Amino acid sequence: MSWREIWIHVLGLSPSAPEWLVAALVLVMVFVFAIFPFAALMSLLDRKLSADLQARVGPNRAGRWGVLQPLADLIKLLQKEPTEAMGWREGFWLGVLTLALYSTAAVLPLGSALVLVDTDSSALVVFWAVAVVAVCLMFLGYNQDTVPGWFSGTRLAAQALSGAFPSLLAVVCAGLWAGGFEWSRIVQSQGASPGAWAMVRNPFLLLAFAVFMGGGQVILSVPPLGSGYSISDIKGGVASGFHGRKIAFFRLGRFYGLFLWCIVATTCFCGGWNLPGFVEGLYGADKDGVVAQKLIEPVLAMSKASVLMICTTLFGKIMPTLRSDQVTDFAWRVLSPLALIALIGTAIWMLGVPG
Amino acid sequence: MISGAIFSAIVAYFRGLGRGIASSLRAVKTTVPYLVGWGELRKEITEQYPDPVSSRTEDDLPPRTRGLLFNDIERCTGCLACSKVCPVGCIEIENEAGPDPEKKWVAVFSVDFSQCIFCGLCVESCQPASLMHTKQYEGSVYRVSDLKVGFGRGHVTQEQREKWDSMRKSEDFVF
Amino acid sequence: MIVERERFERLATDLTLWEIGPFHPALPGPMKLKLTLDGEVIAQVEVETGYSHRGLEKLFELKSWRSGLPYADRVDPEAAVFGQVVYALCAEKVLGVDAPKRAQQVRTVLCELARISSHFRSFVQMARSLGAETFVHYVLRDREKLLDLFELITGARFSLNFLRIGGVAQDVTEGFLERVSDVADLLRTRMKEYNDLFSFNDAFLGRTRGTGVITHDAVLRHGLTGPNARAAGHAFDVRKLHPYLEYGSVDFETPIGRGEFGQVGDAHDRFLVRLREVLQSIEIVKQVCESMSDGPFLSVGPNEVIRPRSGEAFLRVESPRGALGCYVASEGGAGPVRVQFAPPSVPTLAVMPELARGGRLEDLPVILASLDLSIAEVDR
Repeated sequence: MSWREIWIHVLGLSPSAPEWLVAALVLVMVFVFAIFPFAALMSLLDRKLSADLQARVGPNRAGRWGVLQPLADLIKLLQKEPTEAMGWREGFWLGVLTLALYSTAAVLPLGSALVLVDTDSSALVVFWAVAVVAVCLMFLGYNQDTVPGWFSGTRLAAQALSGAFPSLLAVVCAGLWAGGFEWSRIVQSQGASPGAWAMVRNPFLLLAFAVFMGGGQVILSVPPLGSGYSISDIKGGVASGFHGRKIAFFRLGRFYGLFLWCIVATTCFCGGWNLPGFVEGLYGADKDGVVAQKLIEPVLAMSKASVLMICTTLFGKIMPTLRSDQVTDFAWRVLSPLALIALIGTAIWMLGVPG
Repeated sequence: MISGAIFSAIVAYFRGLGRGIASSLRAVKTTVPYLVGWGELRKEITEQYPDPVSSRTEDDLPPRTRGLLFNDIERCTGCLACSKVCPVGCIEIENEAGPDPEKKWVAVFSVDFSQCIFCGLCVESCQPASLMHTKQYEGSVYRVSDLKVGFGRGHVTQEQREKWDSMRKSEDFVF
Repeated sequence: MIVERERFERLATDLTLWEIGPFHPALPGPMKLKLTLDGEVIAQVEVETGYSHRGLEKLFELKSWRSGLPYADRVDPEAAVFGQVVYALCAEKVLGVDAPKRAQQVRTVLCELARISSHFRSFVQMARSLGAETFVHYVLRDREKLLDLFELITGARFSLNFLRIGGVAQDVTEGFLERVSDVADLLRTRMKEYNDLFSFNDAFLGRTRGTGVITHDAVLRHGLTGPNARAAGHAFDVRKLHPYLEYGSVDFETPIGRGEFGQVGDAHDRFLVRLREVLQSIEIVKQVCESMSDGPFLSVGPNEVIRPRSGEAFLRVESPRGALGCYVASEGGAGPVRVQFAPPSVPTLAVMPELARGGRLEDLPVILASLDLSIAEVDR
C-alpha cells in the first residue's frame, strides 16, 4: 500500500483527496504526534538521567517524578519576550534555517508510511539540511555583531566543513552495502533482529557507524565536541544572542538536528524501522493490521534513535570539551582516515564475504 | 629509513587513538554505575529545600548553628557587652531605671538583621547567657524595616513609674 | 544604503577588542579583562580589578582586636580560616598572648580542612571551564562533607569566625575528631574516583597540557608562591620553611610539579599539585587528630580585657593560593592602628596576562581556573 492510501484510510479522507493535502496533514501529524512529544520526553529523560549520573535527583517538582517538567519549560519559554525587535537579516536567516531543517520531516526515515519522498539520494539529504543550517548559524552569528556571535559562527562553519567529509563517507558506506541510497532499499537490506543490522553483519560498517556519530557531534557542535556553543569563553556564542521566544525555537532546532542525525544513523546502520516477524502475526495481514504495523514502525525507529541520543548527551556531560581547533583536527585527522578505511573495508568485505 | 619513520608515525597515531578511546571508556566506566545507584557511595545526595516535603529540619542542624539571634530579656542585664563587641554595630540597646534598683530595665534591645553577619561574638560575650543563636535561618521579610527585631521591654511610661513608686513605698514588697 | 556602507567600513579586519566582565563564566570573580584578539589568538590582556573592594584593611583600624576578627575571615571568603589565622597569629605576637597547644592543634586541623575545601573549589572551577559537569557534582558532593564538619564545630559553613586572639572560640564537639577521620578516609577513596574520571582524561590533558606554562623565571620575577609556584618547580612552602601552628611536628611532603604529562608548570601540573596537596592535607589532619593533646582551648576569655601593647608583627601563612602575609601595627590602643594583608593572588593576577598571551581564546578560562585566583583577596 502506498503511503497515500494508508493515510487516506487512517485519516478518513475521501480517496480523491489531493496529494498535497494528504502530505501536509501527514507532516502536521508527524510534528504534533511524533516530534514534539518525543522532544518533550527526551528533554525530561536527558535531565533525569544526567542528574542520576551526577548523584542528583533532577526535576521532581512539576508532577510526580517531574513528568510535567517539559510542559513547565514550554510555558516558561513561550512567555519570554524579546529585548529588541528582530532585524530583517536575522529574520531572513532564521527563516531559511527553519525551512531547511524542518522540511526534512518529509524525508525522515521514521516509517515506510511516513517517508513522503523517497528518491535515490534520500540518505544524503541530511547533509544538505545540516550544511544549510551551519551556514545560516554562521550568518546569524555574524549578524549579532558581538564577539561571541562572530567567533561562534566561524567555529560552527569550520566544524560543519570538517565534519561533513567523514560523515558523508560513512553514509556512502551504508549506501554501498544496501545497494542504493533510497530509504526503502537501505532498510530492506537489513533485518529487525540485531544480528541482521548492517553494522553487525559488516564490521567495517561498525567503524562507519562510529565515524558517522562522531562526525555528527562535530557538525552539530554537540558536547564534548561543542566548542561552537562554548559557555566558558564565548558565553554560549550564537545561542546567547537569542532573546525571547526564539530561544525555544532555537533549542527545538538543536534537538531536531541531533534527532535527525540519530534517526539517519539508526536507519543506515541499526536496522531502521524493520519490525520483528512476530508483530505481523499479532496484527494480521488485513488492511487494519498493515496500518497498525505501519504506525508501530516509527515507534521502534524513534526508540532506537532515542538510545543513541541519550548516549550522546550523557557522554557529553561526562567528558571535558575539546577546543575548536582540536575538534576540527579530530575530524580531519582521525575521522576522515577512519572513514576512508571503512569505505575501502566495506567494499572489500562485500567482494570477499558471501551474502 | 623513511618507511621506518612512517611506520612508527602510524603506530603512534593508532596508539594515540587507542589512548583516547581507553580514557573515554574509563570515564564512562566510572560514571555509569551512578545511573543504577550501585553501591553506598553512589546514592543521590540531593537534599530538598526544607519545606513540608523536606529531608532536613531544624532538628537536623548541629547544635552550634549560628542562626537568627534571640535575647531572653528576663535574663538580660543590659551590660552592653554584645553591642560593644559587634563588628557591624547592629545591636541597639537603651537602658532605663526599672522597678528593681539592682537590675537595669532594658527598654530597647533591637538587632538589625540586615546588618548582622552572624559571627557569634555577641553571643560569646553575653555573661548572663541571655543572648543566643536560634537555629532559624529563614528570615526573609517584605520590608527592610521589618528586619530590625526588638526584644526589649519597651520604654517606661509615666503610669508604670508611678505604679512602681507606689509599690516601693508599700512595706511588704519584695523583689 | 548609507547605513550599510558605514557598517561595512566599521568591520574590524585586524585586531578585535573584547571586554569581558565584570561577570563572565570564565572569571573567578568580578573583574574586567580587556582582551585584544587576533582571530582566536589572544594578543594582549589588560586586567582591571577593584569591583570587590570593601575597605577591609581600613575597617580593622576602627574596630577593637576582637571585633576585627570576622573581617579577617572575609579577606578570602572561599578559604576563610587563613585570613583569621594570620591575623590572630600577628595579633598574638604584638599583644604577647600565647595560644595553648590544643588550640594550635585545632587551628591546624581547621586550616587543612579549609585547604582541602578550597582545592576542591579550584577543581570545580577547572572542570566547569571545560564543561565536565559530572566531575563538578562529584567534587561538590564531597565538599559538602567538609562544610558539614565546619558547621558541626563552628556553627557556620564558610565564614567560620572560629579563631580568637589566644586560641579558638570553643572546644571541639564530642565525636568531631572521629568524624574528621572518617571524612578523611572517605576522601581518600574518592580521589581514586577522581583520577579515573578526570585527572588523566585524554580530553582534559589535551586542553591543559602545555597551557599557561609558568616558568621558574616568571615565579621569581613576580614573587609567586603556593601551588602555582610549586608546579613550576619552585619548592617554597611556608609550612616547611617557617613552621607555624603545629606544622613543625607533623610529617608531610610538599608536592612539586614534574611535568609528567606535558611541561613543568603547565595547567595540568598545577592541577596535579593541588590534587596531591589534598592527599597530604588528609595525612596532616589524621596525624593531628590522633595526637590531640588535652588542655584549655583559649587563653584569653571572651570578656577578659586584652592588655594593650604597642608593637608590630609580620607573618606569613600558607593559604591554598600561596603565602598570605599580614602586617599588624599597634600603638597600645584598643585595636590595631594598621593591618595590611599581602594576598598571594596579587602576583598571580600579575603573571596571568603573560600566560594568556599567544594562546587561544579558549585557553583563557582554563588558565584562569588553573591559577586558582580569588578576586576578593586581591581587592579586599
